[in-house]
Amino acid sequence: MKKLVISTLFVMQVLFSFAQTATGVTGKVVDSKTQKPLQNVVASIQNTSLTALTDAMGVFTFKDAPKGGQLVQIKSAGYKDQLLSVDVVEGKLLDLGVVVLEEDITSEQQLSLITITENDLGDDNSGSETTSGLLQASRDGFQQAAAFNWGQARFRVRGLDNEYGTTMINGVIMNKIYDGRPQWSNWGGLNDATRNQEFTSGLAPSDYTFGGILGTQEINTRASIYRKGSRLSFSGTNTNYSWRTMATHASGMGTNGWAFVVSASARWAKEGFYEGTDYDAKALFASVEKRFNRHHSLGFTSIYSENSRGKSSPNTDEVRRLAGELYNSYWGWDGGKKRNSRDKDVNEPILMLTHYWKITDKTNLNTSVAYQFGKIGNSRIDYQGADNPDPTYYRNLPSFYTSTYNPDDYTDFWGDDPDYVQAGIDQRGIFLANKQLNWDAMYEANKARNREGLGAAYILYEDRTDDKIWTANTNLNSQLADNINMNAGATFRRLTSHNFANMLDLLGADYFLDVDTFQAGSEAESDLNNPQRHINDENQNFAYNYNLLANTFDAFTQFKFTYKKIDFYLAESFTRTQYQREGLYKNGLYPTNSLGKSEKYIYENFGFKGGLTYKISGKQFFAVNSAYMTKAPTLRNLFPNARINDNVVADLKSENVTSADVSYIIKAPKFKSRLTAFWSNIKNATETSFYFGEGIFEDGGTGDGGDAFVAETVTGIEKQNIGLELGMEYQLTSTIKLTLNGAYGEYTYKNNPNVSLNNDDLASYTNTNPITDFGPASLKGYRLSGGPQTAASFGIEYRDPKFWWIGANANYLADNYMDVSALLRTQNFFRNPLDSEGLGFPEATPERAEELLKQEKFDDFYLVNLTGGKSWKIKNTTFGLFATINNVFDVDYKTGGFEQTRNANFREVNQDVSSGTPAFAPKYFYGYGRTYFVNLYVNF
Amino acid sequence: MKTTTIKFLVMGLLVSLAFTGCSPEDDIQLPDASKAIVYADFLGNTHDGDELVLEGWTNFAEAGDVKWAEGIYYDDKYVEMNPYNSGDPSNIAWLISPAINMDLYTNEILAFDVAQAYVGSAANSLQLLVSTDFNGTDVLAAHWEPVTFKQPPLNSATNFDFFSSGIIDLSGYDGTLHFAFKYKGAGVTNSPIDGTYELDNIRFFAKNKS
Repeated sequence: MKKLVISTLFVMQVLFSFAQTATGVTGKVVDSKTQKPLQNVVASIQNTSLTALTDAMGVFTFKDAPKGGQLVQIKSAGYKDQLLSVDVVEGKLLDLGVVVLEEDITSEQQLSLITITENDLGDDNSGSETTSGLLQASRDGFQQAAAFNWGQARFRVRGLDNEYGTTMINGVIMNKIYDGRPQWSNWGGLNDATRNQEFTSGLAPSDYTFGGILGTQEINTRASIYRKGSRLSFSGTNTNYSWRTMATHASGMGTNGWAFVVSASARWAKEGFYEGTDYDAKALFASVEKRFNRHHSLGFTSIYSENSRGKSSPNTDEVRRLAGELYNSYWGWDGGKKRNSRDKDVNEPILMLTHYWKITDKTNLNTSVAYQFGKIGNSRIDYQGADNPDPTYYRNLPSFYTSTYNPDDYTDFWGDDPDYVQAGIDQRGIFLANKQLNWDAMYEANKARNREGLGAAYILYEDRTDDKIWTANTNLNSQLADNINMNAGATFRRLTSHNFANMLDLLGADYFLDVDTFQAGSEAESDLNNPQRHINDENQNFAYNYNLLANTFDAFTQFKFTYKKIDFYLAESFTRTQYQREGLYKNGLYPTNSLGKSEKYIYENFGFKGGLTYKISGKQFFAVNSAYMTKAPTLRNLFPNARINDNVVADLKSENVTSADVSYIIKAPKFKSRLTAFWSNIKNATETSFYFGEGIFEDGGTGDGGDAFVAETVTGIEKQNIGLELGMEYQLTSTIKLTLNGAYGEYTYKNNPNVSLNNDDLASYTNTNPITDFGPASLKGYRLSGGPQTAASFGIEYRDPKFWWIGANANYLADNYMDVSALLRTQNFFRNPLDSEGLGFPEATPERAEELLKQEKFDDFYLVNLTGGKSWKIKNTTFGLFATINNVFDVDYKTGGFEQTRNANFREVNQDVSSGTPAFAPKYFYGYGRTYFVNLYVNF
Repeated sequence: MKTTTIKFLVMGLLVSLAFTGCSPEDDIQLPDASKAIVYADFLGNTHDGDELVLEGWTNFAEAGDVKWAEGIYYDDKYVEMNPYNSGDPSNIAWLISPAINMDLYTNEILAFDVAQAYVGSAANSLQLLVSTDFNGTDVLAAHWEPVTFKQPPLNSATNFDFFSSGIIDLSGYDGTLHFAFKYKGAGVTNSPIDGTYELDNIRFFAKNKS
């Protein structure tokens, strides 16, 4: 692996005239294991812009170094940094002799990490994902702890969602326009091929983009920077897959100017950590580069990855108590096999052509054109005029009986009546005997429908997103003067995202009638141009069908200034975003605003950031960063009901993001430490969600108690994330290293945002946007959900000179909070839907309401993780073994959870909770118990 | 110099934390809900036609023998005043709420559902009255002030149908308040004023004075 920092080097490198009598430093860098010289290793003198690369003999030389005490840093991807203290004497070239670089074990850890980032338990590619994927290439001790030790507990750095980070491949942004988050599965399993990464944390400047406030990750796939050689690996684990195999070969730059890298991987599991979670992923990677001359190279990268996995269900405490920790309600036996109804399939190949233009020694221009296409499918069961097949549907659980109240008298608890208690006991047995999805019953139900000539009762379908995205990106990097470096870049993206329901399996039915059975007459039609349509084959689209179109253009400039005592930078960005929806069906509920192209919605956004590093001494630094930017709403939030209409959230504004951090850093040869205080504020954020709620609307005389399936939009959210990060690393002896890391945060809602609901039942020709405003939700002071806000880690690592090492980490994680429902905290909570004047409930008191609406805080927990490895060298072949055991003591812990909004008002929540066996209790996500990961590899 | 810098920085960070040190949960201010001070939904009724006895409430016949009675019609439970065939030449019946200390609350409102059957004239009336000097026993000695509400339509097609009174603002009263429903009619044979009034969901809501 030659140098991922090459591009930076082009900029930072300063050429010196050859002086006869040099004042400087020289040395030879070799691999600790092979003792072979290492080429293209970066040596730099701290607090200067002096940088040198090693030559083919592994030798670097500084011929004009400032005299006196200096720190020389020697860095190469895949190796541990070396920081050497030297004393430069005037007129002498100090020879450091042989500098030995040891292999960096974090690069091995990255291999095990990927199993965590892929484990997005949420229903969609949701915010429950950790930031581990982003951080994996970080060299910062704190961030490594966050990625490798806390990631499994869904810790997020600074409490920020991945949409505030920027992930790039060769400068091409991989964050989806739809929700702003990268789809890690697109290159999952290609760990070796995507190892060349640069990470910038928080607001720190990246050479490739302006970035968000979380940080940036740039994956470089330029073929010539991969270290020549081949690598095979085979891994076993008990996380979301069981086995992984990878093979990678890099040619290195040949004399003919060609370089290529190929990689292939497969990961699979018949059943992952949770029941019924099958896994099947294959990936191929190829990168080729042709160097035409000193100035021009052309690279082509192609990434193909197909990933199919069965998901696992979030469960209520009741279900988990009944069915066990590994229980997953999504699967059932079908033809002797465990079949999961909720598969996620991702297959989005990437093709990328990059032109590397070294205009001068100090100026580079890299330009990429990328095309990504393919599909993401999330499957599920749909049913018409039939019972909900979910085994954990509330009517299938004992609590359905034991939480019952007299519907005509809210004070009359029936759940403790002997009949109901017995029914609960009976139901427990029924549930345990039927706790998996019953595919056979669904086939039978469909056969019965066939005999009557009716459409399917049950089908398996997928929500599909087929994106086609073109990206053109250009990136200029120029060393304007010894002290001034400039970056500038521009990116254009054009997205066509085709979204539709796709039939996967009719489950033995003759056909499926494509109507919405909750509506009547023409309003039930999915497509008025194809009324009463029969879907009689797989891979036909139905229910909804539309395109989301987006064009985005962004540009940034950045100037970095480097001086003896102070470094600073300034950057600014401009983004123009244009969104449009194109309906392909004429929906029966929204005949006038579902078909055809919507208006175009345009957002123009700016960002500014700057920061400085003050060098107190060669070993101590003080750094501040700050940024202000506006961020266009995501497509997801603009069109909350995109499946059936082109309505947009009224007056949807761009988010205002402000962030600042202050750090004190010590970098000494034996001791490294960083203490950072950070603050970020996000205004005008929007959240959208869908659910079935009871008692939300006024009864309206239909006797349904105001129940409805609704789309909830919360607008104008203000969030504040404030906290401290501490990282310490101490090299106790040459073989023992101690680490101590801690994070303390307070991530909260700072205002009472507005809640509105869209209820399709109210839609008509005259009411094309059936929105009900519920006013403000009292969220101010509630904690943001999404991982522990407090974390601490103590680690000890022993590295034996004979190439084996072992490490242990003890971790404490705390202050993780429930995702609270906004609707429950509006005035509506106190409104009795049956009251003729919309007044409250007689039994409601502020004290009880406070108890019911108190945010659940999950239990604190401790995790102990062990890692170890060994490598052997036999002639020119290296064999390696890497193993981790996470959560050694098999601690059971919650990583997240959400309130079910099905009970939407005081009476329903109070009755449910007071019963002692709530039917609509929160659902939780859990961390893995004890897991292992073992990797064997061969480098040759 | 080094240690001073470190101390300074650590102090700075601690101070900045101290600023936000108080628990964010202290900021939580749930929607300001009114609470029910008086709420009568008559779910405790056991026998249709029995005299209504409800704790805190006064059920008083000023003229005639008929008092407010429990009403049960299928699942529906309510209170009714029906002098039909009582033989009384005059029926005046009061249903008086428990005492409410208005000084503890603000935003006091009253709402109830009301139905009529066979009421044909203004002489056969249901009045809403309030008093701030009712001593809890001597109804006629107190000063009662009439308050308007949305009367149910006098239409035989909507006999026994409940209508909302609308929201009645009582926030203008201080001291100890009682509200009362006063029925006037007569139960002699073929009386033109022997109609029925029914009441349900009598709700008096207020917010605590802060």
